[in-house]
Amino acid sequence: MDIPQADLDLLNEKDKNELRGFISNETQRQRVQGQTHALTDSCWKKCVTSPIKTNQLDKTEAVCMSDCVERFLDVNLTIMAHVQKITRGGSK
Amino acid sequence: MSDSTSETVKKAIIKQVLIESQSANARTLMEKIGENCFTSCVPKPGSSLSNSEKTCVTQCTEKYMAAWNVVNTTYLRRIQQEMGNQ
Repeated sequence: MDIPQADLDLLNEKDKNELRGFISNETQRQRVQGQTHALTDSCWKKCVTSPIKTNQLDKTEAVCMSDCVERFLDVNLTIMAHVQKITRGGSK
Repeated sequence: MSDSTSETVKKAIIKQVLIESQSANARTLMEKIGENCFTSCVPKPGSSLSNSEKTCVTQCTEKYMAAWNVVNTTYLRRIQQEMGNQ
């Protein structure tokens, strides 16, 4: 993205702050969307295993997708807790 | 330094950032649909794309988007839940 420095110099403090807030929200939103892409990809492979015959997810597939996301996040939390435990425990 | 100029620059930046993040999102979605629907719909590539494969691809495209929405909703709910727990 190209914005000339001359233009940026025109920004007053209030607008600069507003932009900082906007960029930080947008960064967060992008991170969530990126994670959504990765999770959809991985859960699709686990949940949509029969031949595609309609343009909709059936009930079982929808529940599987949702459970898949929840369990992925549980795994993340479990890993974080464990890593924290073993790094705190020193050499062990 | 006039405020209206600052305002103009700010709006231009916001607009540009939104365009770029939306197009990055759309590009990633198209890539993922391409990979996954190719795998699902064309297990054995023939000399041309058959009608049933084409039908599968269009259904798969819509289905993948529905799956994306389910994941996004669940993920956002979980994030909110965990922020509430902190």
